[in-house]
Amino acid sequence: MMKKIIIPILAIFMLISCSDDEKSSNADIISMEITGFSDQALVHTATEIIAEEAKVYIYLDNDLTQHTFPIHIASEIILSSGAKAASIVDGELSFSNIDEVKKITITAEDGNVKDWYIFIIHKQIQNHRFENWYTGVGMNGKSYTEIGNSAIESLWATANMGTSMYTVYCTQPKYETANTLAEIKTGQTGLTAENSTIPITAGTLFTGRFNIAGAIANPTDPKKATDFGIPFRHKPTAIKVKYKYQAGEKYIQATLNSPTNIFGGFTVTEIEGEDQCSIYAILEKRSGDSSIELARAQLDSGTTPDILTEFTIPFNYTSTENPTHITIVFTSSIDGDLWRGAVGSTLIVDDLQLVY
Amino acid sequence: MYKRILFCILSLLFINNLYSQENKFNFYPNLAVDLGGAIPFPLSDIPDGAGGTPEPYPMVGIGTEYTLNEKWQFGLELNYHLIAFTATADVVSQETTFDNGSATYFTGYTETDVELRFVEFPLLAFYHLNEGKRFLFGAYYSRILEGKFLTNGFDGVLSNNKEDTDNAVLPGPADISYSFNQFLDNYDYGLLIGYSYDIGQRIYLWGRINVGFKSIFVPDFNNIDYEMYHVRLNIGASFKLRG
Repeated sequence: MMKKIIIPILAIFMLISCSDDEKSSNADIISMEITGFSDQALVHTATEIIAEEAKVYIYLDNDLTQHTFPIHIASEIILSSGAKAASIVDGELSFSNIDEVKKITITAEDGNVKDWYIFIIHKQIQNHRFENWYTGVGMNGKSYTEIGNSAIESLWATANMGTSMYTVYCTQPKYETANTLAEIKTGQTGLTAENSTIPITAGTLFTGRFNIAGAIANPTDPKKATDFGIPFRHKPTAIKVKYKYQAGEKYIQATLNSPTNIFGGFTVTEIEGEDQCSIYAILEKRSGDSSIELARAQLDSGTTPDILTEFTIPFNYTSTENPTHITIVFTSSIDGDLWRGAVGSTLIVDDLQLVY
Repeated sequence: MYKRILFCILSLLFINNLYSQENKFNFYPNLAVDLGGAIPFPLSDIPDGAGGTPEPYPMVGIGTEYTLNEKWQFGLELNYHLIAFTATADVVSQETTFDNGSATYFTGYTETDVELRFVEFPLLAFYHLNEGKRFLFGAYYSRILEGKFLTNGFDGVLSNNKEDTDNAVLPGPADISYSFNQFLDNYDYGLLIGYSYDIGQRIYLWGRINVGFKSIFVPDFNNIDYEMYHVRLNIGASFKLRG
């Protein structure tokens, strides 16, 4: 009699414990196969899933500025066991404009929710005309304007988040009638260089991600604040961009009083010469932690006439290998990472284009 | 530094041997547990709701004591310590100043990790209360061998304008990390009091509270608006080599 009671109880316990254990918390995209496009001219070359970033890059061998939107992509998506993506019907992904990043919310079997982002990588860079800006919240809790549609979706980045604690935003949109340009300006974090925590902070706009953790952990090394580069697999011959530049009046060198101590402040000295801006693009082949530079296009410029001028900067290829990433950088002070430049130096850019 | 420690150990052994015949000196190893760390001063600078979690670490050392009479004994020790603790606090407009007078303020949740390795030279006086029980007090000097002082802030607001942090809406977007390792001073001194209890002819248990009289930071460190002082509790046992 006792056995008859105990066995069903144990069975129930086992069922309960098993059912809890078996529910998966994984909410991942395991694979995505592209099976067709609404626009037959689109050519799919590869799909890359970056699980740790919850991002998928769909590579197309097209220049989507030459195509009409929306475009629809038919796909076969395999999710984690038991996971569901309510926003995906029959694997169809629709993109309403060239800069759209598709957000897919995946719900795991146990209810865990994870957002994934689908990017289309084509022959031009997302938001290449710098038209899209969004309102973010800086470290000081205040709103400011940042490039892109959102922090997670933008392939462009600035150092605005890092300087937001001083209410300083060196890269901002410059609105004109029916056009938006990017204004990149060298600033300082106080009223004068001498009373500033950071006497000079170069404005920058780049493809990649601003690494706020790197900036905070390495305040004496500005390079640690940038994760340059975005996925890219084409081989352009040049970059074309409209720009104008005005160097700031007082060209200074700020030197850390103690090389490893940001609290010790800077000694600021005025130096000979004039500030320069830098516009450059690098094609790289990355594999794990290693990176090989395959091609570089670079323009360093002093003050230009006060009119936007289109300039073509050719890539100088040093390898025939195929790239995996592209870094494009605009900075208002070429030696800003060395705390050298002129406060007020202003680089204005518009309409970036990759030439093939 | 290690040569100096070795020299002290050998000196204690030498003294012990030299005077062992007179039975006035004794020599003992110490084994104890350290609990403690550093606390802000003035105490009013400790934020409401702040908490600390000291991590217990073993302490080892040696000592010698001299019996003056039935009531009084004096001791000199050499002890190696590792103390570590984590303090957490919700801070409002915690100020960090820079040497040029500029400042930033942080409002949010903070965690501070402190770890110090040091050798300590306590000079002790023991007063016999009654059978096997002694009150002890003394002074110490410590040489800091290695130190870590790291403050991380999470989900807060960071600004050079105090109004922003005074009126911060949390959670905020700012995470911060400040390392003050290089500003830790390399010595400390202070007072200690305690109590010891003989549990055998040779073994006695003791407890001590050590309070530092100087900030753990170097004198010209003014980047945070309060000082921090050592406060430690030692609980241990000593074994007299001669009964």
